[in-house]
Amino acid sequence: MPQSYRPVSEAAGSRLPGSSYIRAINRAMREEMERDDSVVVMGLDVARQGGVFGATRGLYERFGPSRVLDMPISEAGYTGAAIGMAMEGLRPVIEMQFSDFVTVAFDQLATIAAKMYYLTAGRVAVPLVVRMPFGASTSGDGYMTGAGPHHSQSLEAWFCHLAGVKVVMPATPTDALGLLKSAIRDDSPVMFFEHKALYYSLRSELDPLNSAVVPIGKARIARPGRHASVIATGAMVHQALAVAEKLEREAIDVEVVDLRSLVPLDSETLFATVRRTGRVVVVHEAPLTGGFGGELVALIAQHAFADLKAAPVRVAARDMPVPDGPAARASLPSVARIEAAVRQVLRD
Amino acid sequence: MIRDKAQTLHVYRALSGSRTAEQAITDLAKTGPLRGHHSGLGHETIGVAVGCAMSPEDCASLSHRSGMMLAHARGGYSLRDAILAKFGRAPGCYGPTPGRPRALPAIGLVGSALPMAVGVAMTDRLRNRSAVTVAFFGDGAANEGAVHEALNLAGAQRAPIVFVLENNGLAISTPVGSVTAADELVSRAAGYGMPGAVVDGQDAEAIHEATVKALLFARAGSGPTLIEVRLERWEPHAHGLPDLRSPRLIHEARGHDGVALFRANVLARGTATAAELDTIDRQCREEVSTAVAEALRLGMDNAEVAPYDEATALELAYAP
Repeated sequence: MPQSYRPVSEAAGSRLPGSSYIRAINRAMREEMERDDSVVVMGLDVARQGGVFGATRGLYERFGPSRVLDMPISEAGYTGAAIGMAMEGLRPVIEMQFSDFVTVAFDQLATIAAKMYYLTAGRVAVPLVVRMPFGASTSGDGYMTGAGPHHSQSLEAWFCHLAGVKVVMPATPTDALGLLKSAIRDDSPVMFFEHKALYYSLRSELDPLNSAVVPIGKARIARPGRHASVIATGAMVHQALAVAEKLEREAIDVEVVDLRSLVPLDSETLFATVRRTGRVVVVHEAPLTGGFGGELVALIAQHAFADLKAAPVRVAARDMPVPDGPAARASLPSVARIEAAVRQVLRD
Repeated sequence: MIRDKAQTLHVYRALSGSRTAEQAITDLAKTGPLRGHHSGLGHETIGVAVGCAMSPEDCASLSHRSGMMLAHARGGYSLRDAILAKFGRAPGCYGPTPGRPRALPAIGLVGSALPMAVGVAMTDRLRNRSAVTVAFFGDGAANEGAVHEALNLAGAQRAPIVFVLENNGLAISTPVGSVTAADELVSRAAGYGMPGAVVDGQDAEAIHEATVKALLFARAGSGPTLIEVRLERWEPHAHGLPDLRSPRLIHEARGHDGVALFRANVLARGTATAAELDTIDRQCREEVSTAVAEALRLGMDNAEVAPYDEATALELAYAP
């Protein structure tokens, strides 16, 4: 089921927002802005352009220039400004045009946003959401042709290490809607990772009446199973589901856990799935070394060792920049690699 | 403009008190009771003159050099507070404190706080408040990317903010001229489309006047101003670091004394008598020596350097 990435030029065109994941993101912002006039949206080309991927489309027309602010290409500048606004009681939702650009703003997030509540002994909170379109792989075996190493990364692990920001990664439109609403209402800074490939590839329509908030810190069993657990994040959830579907034909019953929140982590659901199956594959699109998968395997080894029937296996990108072109397929996790990993933990 | 007698005496009291307290703290760092201090001797004028021009609802993003003087001049931060804070016995001036004029928390990386200050100013404008943010940075921070982005953003947004560039010519040991080819840091203001002003850091009246003008400009919705204040610090960057300047240059720096200059101007104009100013000096000395004695009696309290206990600290990484 290879999915194709729609180029940015089309994304910015009149056909968007046409897919439900990005429509969910858009709807979450719109509904929260209706609900709370302290919510403001800032970023590059987010006003009249509606964002290069179309996520903020229509917000400027609805809420005007005091609520939807175009910023200079100055990620440190506008991230820091949003921190100041959050400290003053606004709830800024800022967009990194591509999550890769957050490198420019990293000092602001690591030094200021992540430490402000602590630094002020709880007197000053930073209710900030940083929306980050990330990733290279699509939900199938494809890749985002042409995006290359500067527009395709999965940088979530850096933020998990900050100890002061929450890290969220929805894999479905329902969670994109519900988690973004939670993120906007949260008083801590929330790093919100939206997989670019999911913007356009997921077609499940949202219930127009169901605007349920999805709590941060709760994982989801995307598919229950008894033989092995695949614990995945972002677009990898859909690759894991494809593997589970395939192995079902061989009477292999794979459980897929969609982590949804990395910080705080739902360790209860994590340990419960290990208890059920005893065989674990962890999948993320970020490079292997220092990736969040290492943390998951470490937690399982420390707290659920007795439940393990086989050594856990990590499936991740190779430790290299995200290749541009066909080499991406060799570097990034794939259905084939996840399938091989599941077979390995079942064999051991 | 510092014209009438009441205001003149107010400014003089803040200057004299700041100098006396800063000298006492610097001496305590040199003689042992305090383990470290970034002495602000020579920087009293800038903190006091800018602080006296601000309203309580204005927001300050302080410098580590003149922050104490600014907080003291704005009110709500006594000389006793300044000395006890160094011993962990009172809340410091770097952070929002109930009952004190608005201030932003200090950030440990120079220049990083400026975008945040711009965001505070943007919020005041979005909410139709008349408050202005005053953000300090040094010649060292001036070459940080965040400073460039903050000044550009403030200019583009016409944010109600005044940037005070506290140029003492040295970033720890590095002369400003060796790390930028620009003749004048203030010339950068033009690049951001904002007015720039240069003032002598020992001239309290000139600093005050430039600040009042910039605050009015910002309050009128005209946007930011960059004020470069040129001065020299009397001490090394921090206690324990060598001063690479020649003894002659250090001696010359100490000859540029804004407190003495203000006193001489006041006496020359006849706004106050020497006896009146001497009384203020004596009161400040008494206040400081009483506070130092109290601080030495109480001793350093490391547990209270942070305004929370151990158990509370562990719960403070995330807002509930």
